[in-house]
Amino acid sequence: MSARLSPVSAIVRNELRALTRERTFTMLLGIFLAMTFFSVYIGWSTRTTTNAIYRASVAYLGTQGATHVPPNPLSGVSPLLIFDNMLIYILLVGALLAIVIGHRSFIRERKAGVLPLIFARPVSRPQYILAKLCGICLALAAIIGATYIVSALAAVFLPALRLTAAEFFRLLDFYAVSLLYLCFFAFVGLLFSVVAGSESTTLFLPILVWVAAVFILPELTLGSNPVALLNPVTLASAAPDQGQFFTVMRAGLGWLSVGQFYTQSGLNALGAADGGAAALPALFIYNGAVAWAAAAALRRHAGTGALTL
Amino acid sequence: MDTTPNLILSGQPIVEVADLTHAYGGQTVLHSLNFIVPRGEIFGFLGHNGAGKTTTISILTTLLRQSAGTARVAGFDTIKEPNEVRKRIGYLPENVTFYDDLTAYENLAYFARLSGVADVDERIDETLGFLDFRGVEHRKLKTFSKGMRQRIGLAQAILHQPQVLFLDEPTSGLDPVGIKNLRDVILRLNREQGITIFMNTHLLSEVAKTCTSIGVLNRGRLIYNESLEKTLADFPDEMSLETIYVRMEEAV
Repeated sequence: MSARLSPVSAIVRNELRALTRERTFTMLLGIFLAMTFFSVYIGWSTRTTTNAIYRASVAYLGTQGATHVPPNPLSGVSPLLIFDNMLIYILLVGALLAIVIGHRSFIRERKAGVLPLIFARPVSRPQYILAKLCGICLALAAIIGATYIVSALAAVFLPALRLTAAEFFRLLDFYAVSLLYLCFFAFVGLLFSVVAGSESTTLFLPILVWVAAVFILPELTLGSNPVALLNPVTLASAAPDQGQFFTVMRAGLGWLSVGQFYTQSGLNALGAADGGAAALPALFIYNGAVAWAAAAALRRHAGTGALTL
Repeated sequence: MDTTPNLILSGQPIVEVADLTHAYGGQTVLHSLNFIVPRGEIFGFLGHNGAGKTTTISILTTLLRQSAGTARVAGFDTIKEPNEVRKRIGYLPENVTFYDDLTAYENLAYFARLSGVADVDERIDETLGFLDFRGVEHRKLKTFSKGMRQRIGLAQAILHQPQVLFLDEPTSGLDPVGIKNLRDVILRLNREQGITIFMNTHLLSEVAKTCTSIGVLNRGRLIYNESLEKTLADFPDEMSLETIYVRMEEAV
């Protein structure tokens, strides 16, 4: 027996079913879990190696009769920073995968040619987009949820790493911010799959947005090269005085730098930087704006040509 | 869902088009169309390829917004009350496509839910029974022939018991057996369920066997709109609907 579902619920369900049938969901889940494994291992390994070197240095200094022993450089660093590589992976790889999810969501139906059958039913176009956004969010939330569980389990079982309850919550906060960031790029993928004419353009344009948001804008507004920007510890440190050009660019374009907002919020959640709280509302606003744009774009498509590829 | 019995209101207009005009790309494709289709009719909308038949059906099914004029279906304006229109119509596009990786049941269940059907399983079973098409529910659509897809297309269009069914070139690509089966289904839908049929076609033989009234579209202009009976009476010397159609076209 099948229960009565609202059209929005039916579309959400169909979206999740399509994702699992295409194996996109399984593939993304696998990639995220692999990224988590490598990230945690690299972070933990770095930490334990640094601690071991410190202990060896202290012992050596003791044998040399040193009276002053410098503090452990990691003593003031948040233990959550073993997850900092995850921030880089999500910033780069995660965003691209999210674009694929958002892009496939609408392109799949445009290519199949089922949109005229859907829109000849009592489903408004904004309702349809809302359902698509919900489906995308749920899929990404499931992936991020699984990633959090694996990260938390790693934190429990890895030797020489003890997280407090508050730190587990901060880790959850980090993944919630990551979900928000991934949703932005998935929504961008969806938006361009609605507005662009050809399939290649629908994928090319969101990737252009990703390049701009993650590489070009931070470079223009902070004066940091992309490789430096990938290092969250570098970002957490105070930026040097970069001159008038960057001040002007920061004032003019800084508000567009979604990658920077995510990095700030993520580092803040991991306890490596302050000030990320202000970036969080920006991510919410961007998500809302892109979702609204996708709904408006589909609504503006008065013709049936846009419904097929 | 409106459960007004279709047969009771027989004869009242179910499709009303007034000064319907549509233009795109700087070209006017529909020129001030005016016509009415009474409830209970099987209306054949004739015309060459590119005459504007699909554009008209797209406007009537709310997929397209006209540039000017009004279109009302089942008493509701297609622009002001599109969801009310959509609740009361069924639509079968010319090249009907589905989610090929899903089974027939999954496809039909999805479209039934989008239409707000309460008991999905029961309606699917009834509809497939009506179409004499039970037993294929759990096969994936990608294994279906053109004729089978057309039947599933028809099933999705009538699952929610619409008052009017829009068919865009329904016989396109079908073999003679498929055409006959489809014709029988259309006639049964009209007679047994009282569903009004609005059918785009250029197959005159089908119009003669199926329709009760016709409209002829030529380059976006409605050049003829009468009952089939009166059409045959208007052209008493002609041997077939085909020659009548050719005469209409030549007269323009």
